[in-house]
Order: sequence, then structure tokens, then C-alpha cells
Amino acid sequence: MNSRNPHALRQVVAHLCAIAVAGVFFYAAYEKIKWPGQFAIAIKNYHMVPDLYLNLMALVMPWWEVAAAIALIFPRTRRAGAILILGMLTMFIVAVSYAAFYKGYNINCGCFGKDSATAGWRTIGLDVLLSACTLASVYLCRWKRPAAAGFEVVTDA
Amino acid sequence: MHRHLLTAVLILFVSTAAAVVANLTWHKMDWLRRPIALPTPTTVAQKDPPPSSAGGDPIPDPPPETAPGIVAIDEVLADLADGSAHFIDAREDHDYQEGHIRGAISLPSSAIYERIDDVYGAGVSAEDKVIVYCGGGDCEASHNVADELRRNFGFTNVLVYQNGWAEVESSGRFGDLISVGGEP
Repeated sequence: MNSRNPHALRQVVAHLCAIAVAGVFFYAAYEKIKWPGQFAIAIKNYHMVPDLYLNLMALVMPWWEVAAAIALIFPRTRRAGAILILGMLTMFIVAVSYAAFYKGYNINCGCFGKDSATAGWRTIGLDVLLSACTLASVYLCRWKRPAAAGFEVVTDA
Repeated sequence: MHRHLLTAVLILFVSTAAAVVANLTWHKMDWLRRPIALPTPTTVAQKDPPPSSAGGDPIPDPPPETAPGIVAIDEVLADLADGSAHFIDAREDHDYQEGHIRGAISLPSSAIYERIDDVYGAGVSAEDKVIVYCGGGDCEASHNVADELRRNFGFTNVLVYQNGWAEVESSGRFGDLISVGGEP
């Protein structure tokens, strides 16, 4: 621990949260990038996206996950990464709630390729946990902006 | 806050560009999923020609079993008897192991790309007649598998047995044409 920084523990927890969330997003993106056609089927099962745009979404969204995860790891871009990740997690929660609870579909959530669980409370619980970790990674982290004219500036991100 | 939002938008642009490059160099998948023509089931089409609209009456929607791309139990049994079609079971592994049409290849809709080699390995070629089924009723797995086979693997004669496993079990017409276990 850095003795000059009284918030060292908070920083460590923030980085651990960021790395954990990023790791989950990398893992989630891997199979989707490998087999976008399979991911398109997973999206189709939700009946929320017009068929015409299934491929577009399946091809682009995993790369958003990867980029957001990379951004979350680095303190300088953490807030931007957190905005994207929280946006995606909110979208996932809405989609799972609509499909599983409103429509009553018994579908694979498609979150982690072939290893995905059935869309339902477990999926939503995981998304809420990831959202909490993402918020923790932002609010426990205080990034030191490079000092100008001899001043040390500490910002929120 | 604006700085973070701008950074987020920039990240979206960069990652979208990465997706474009990946698709152009690797997947080469169509960006838009346009509808494709469905094959017409042979025996059903011969038995029940579509009604004419010459009389001025509107043409009613065909019953599900005579819609393009769908086969009924009679054609399934005929193809099983003369071996003129390959069967694909689109249900998950545990359902397949509990019982499946004899000779059917397991290709769960959740692992099409991972397991497509099982289909080729069974000697099925893109020109062969293929009938896909799942649990029946509102089960969509067979439609998803059939759509991918037609769209991304070049299969030209893929049909869906919509009433699927539910009818196989309830009809009592399949007799020894049902197998149990992990082998086709």
C-alpha cells in the first residue's frame, strides 16, 4: 500500500471491481465475436429486434463489450467505460425482464454464448451485481490527473 | 461529465469500426438479415395444391403444416421409410438422449456453429433433403436451425417438422423409428 495515499484500499477495491467486471465482459464477448450467427439467434429469441437488424446487432455489440471493458480497466477512461457498461447492463435487464417475465419465454439468455443460463432472476441478479461493481469501481477510484505548474490535481476520474 | 460522454461515444465509434473490419476480414456475414425463400414440401404440395383466387375470394392463409418450409407427419414418415431425407434434432442434448427420431443428428440451436461438423460428418451435403424438428408446439429451435442451415451453410432443401417431438410421441405412428441415447 502506498503510505502517501490514505485511499489506497479504496483504490485497490476499485481496480479489483473494474478488472472483475471487465473480465466478465471479455468472457461474454469472446464466443459472440467467434460465432456472431449464433449470437444473432440468441437475440432473435427475445423477439425485441426486427429480423432485419439481428446480424447488425450481433456483429457490433460484442465489440462494444470489449471496448467498454478495456476502458473500464484504465482509471483515465473508467467513467466512459462505466457509462457504456451500465448502459448495456440496463439494456440486458430490460430485455430479460421483458422476455422472461412479461412474455414468459423460456429462452437461453445468450449472455455467454453456449454456456448461457436461462433468462430469468439469476441473469438479472448477475447484471445487478455487475452494475454495483461498476459503480464501485468508479466511485472508489480517484484518478490523479497529471499535475500542471507544480499543482497536483485529484479528480473523480 | 461531458468529457466522459464524449469519450464513451468515441469508444463506440472505434469499437464499431473494429466490428466492421472483423466482419470484412473474418466472418463476411451480411449486415442485414433479409428474408429468404423457403422450399415447398413435396408430397403435401402435390396432394393439396394452393387454392385459386380466380373466383374473387381471398386466399386463406395455409394451415401451418402446408406453409412453405413446413412438413407434416405423413411426409416425415414417408421420408423415414425410404431414407430420402436426413433428420436433425434441434433440441438440447438431454432431450435428445431421452428419445429422438432414429438416425436424427443432434444439432442444438444453442450450438449450431460449434456442432455443424457433426452434420457434415454424418455425410449430409448441402443439396440433400433435411428435415429439422424440435419439441413441437411453439418451439422455435427447429426454425432457428433451419434458417441458419439455409442462410449461412448453403443448404437448399431444409424443411421443418413443426409438430416435432410432441407429435412423434403422441401419434403412436413411429413405433421402432424412435431411438434413445446419445447415438443417432
